[in-house]
Amino acid sequence: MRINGVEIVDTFAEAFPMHGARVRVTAVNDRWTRQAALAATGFATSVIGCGIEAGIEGASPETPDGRPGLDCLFFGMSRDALEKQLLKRIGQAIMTAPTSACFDGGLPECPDQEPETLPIGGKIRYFGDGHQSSKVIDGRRYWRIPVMEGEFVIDESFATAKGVGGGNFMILAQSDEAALAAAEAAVAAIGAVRGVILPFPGGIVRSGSQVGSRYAFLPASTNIAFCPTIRGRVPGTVLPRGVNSVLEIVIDGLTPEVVAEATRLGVLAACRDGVVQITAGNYGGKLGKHHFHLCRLLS
Amino acid sequence: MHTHVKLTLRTPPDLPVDAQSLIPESFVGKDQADIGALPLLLGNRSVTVADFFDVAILPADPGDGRTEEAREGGTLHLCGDLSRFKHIGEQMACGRVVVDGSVGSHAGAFMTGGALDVNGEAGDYLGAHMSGGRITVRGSAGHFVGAAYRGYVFGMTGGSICIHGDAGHMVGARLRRGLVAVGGSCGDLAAYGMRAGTVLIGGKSRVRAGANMVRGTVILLTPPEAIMPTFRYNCVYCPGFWPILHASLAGLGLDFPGVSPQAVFESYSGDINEGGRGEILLCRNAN
Repeated sequence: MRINGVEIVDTFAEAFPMHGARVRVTAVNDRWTRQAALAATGFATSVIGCGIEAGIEGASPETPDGRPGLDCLFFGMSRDALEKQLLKRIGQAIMTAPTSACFDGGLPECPDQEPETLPIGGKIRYFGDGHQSSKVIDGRRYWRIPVMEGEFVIDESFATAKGVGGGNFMILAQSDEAALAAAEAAVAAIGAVRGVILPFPGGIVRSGSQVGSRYAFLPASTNIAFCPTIRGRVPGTVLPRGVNSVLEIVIDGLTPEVVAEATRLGVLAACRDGVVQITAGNYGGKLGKHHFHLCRLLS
Repeated sequence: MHTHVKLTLRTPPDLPVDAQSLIPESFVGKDQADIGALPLLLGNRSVTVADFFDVAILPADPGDGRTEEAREGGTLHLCGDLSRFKHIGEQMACGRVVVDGSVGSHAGAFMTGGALDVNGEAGDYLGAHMSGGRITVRGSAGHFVGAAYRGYVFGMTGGSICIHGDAGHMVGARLRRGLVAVGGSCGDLAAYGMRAGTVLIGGKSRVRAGANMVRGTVILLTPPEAIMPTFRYNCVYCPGFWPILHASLAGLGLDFPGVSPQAVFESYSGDINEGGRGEILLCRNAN
C-alpha cells in the first residue's frame, strides 16, 4: 500500500494489556495546572526503565472544583505497580504544586469492564499526620490534607481499567528533518483522539528498543535493525536504501479502538514528503495480545 | 414502568396521625383497594389510608422517571396539608416521595435511601437518624433536623437534607455523617455535639453554633453574633472542597447569592473542650 508515495508495510504493531487510570489535575490557573501535570507525568516514558508510562491526555472537559484542569493517563503492567507509581507521583509531584487538587477522571471509555478502584487518596491522606479530614459530597469522598499553603484535596479512590500499551509505528525517512516533521505531524493528528497518550518526549521516540541485549544486566537495547549508522554491519537491518533517519510513535490507550484510531490518524499524517516507508514493531505476534495491522487500519 | 401513586388529602384529621406506612415500598405491586386499606394510626385508633385520602394510580410520570430514586422504587405523590401526619417517609429505602403541602414531625427519620421532596414546611426531627438518601424541603423545618433522638449518641449517619427556608434549634445535633444545609436562618445550638459531617447555615445562626462538636464542619455563610470562645482562629482561605460543595448545593436548587465558589472563609478549630478537631468556616465575603 502507498499513501502520498509513502510505502505502508504490510505488518502489524504488537501491543500489550496494561492497567490504566485517568488523573484529573486542577489548579488556580493553566500555568500551575500544567506544572503539576508535567511533573507527575515526567520520567514515565517506558515501563522498562520508569515503572510506568504516562502522559497528558488533554484539557479536562469539566472539573469538580470548576478550575482549569488537565487529564493525565497512567499505565502500569499491574494494578499494584500502577498504585505504587500513582502514590509517588501524586504525592510528590501534584500535592507539592501550589494550589493543586487531584481528582479521578473516570473511565467512561471502558463501560464493559468490572469497575475496580485504587485507594490513592485514601493512602495519601496519611500525610496529614492525623489532621486530615474528609468530605463526602454526592456520594464521593474527598480527602482534605492540610499543607503549608492551605489544603490539598484529592479523591479517595481512582478507577482503573485494562488498557493497551505499546501501540506503535515507525517513520523511515530520507533525513532527520523529514522524519521529525512527519512525526510532529503525526503527534498533532493523534492529539485529537481522547483516551490515548504518547508517553515519550513530545510523543516521539528516537531510540526504539529491542528485547534483550548481549549484556546480562540489560533487559533491552537499541533497536539495531532500525539504526541507520550501523546498517552496513548489521545483517538483520530492515532499512531500505535511502533511509537515513527513523522515528517511532508509541501509543498507549484505554481501549484497542482508540489505539487503532490514533494509529490510523498518525500514519496518515506522517505520509508526507521525505518519508520513504512506515512500518510497525512486533514480536511475531507471540507476545502481545493486541495486533494493529497498518494496512487494514488504513484501507 | 415505575409505580406512581397519588394520594390527595380529603379529610384533614383532628388528631395527629402516625403515617409510617406512607413510603413507596408499601405501594409497589398493590392495586387501589390494597392501597386504600393500608393502616394508619389516628391517636390510638387504627384507621386506613382511604379514610383520609383519595387514591389514584397514575401512569408513570416521565419527569419523575428521570430521577434515579423514582426509577428504582416508584413515586408516591401526596397532596394536601399533612402537617398532622407524622413519620411520612420514615425508614424508606428507595423510591421518591413528593409532598405538595406540609408534613409533620419525624418525616424521613431513619431513611436509608430514596428521596423525600416536601414542597411546604416540615416539623421537628426531620431526617432524624437517617443514614442515606436525600430530603429537600422548600419551606422551613422545625427543631432537631437530622439530629439524634434523646439517649442516642449519633444522629444522622449519611445522606443529605436540604432546607430552603429556616430551621429551628439543634440542627444537625450529634450528626455523625452526611450533610444538612439550611438556606435560611436557624435557632440555637446548630451542630451541637456533632461527631462528623457537614452543617451549612445560609442565614443567621443563633447562639452557640458548634457547641461540643467533636469533628466535622460547620459552615456559616452569614456572620453570627459571636463565635464560641472554645473555638480558636486558624486562618483565612478558600477550602478546596467548597467549590465542589457549592456546585452540589446549586444542583439541589440551593443558591446563595453573593457567595461564590471561590468564597473566602475564616477557619476556626473547636470545640476545644472536645479535642478541637472540628471546624467552623465563616464566610468572609458574602454579599
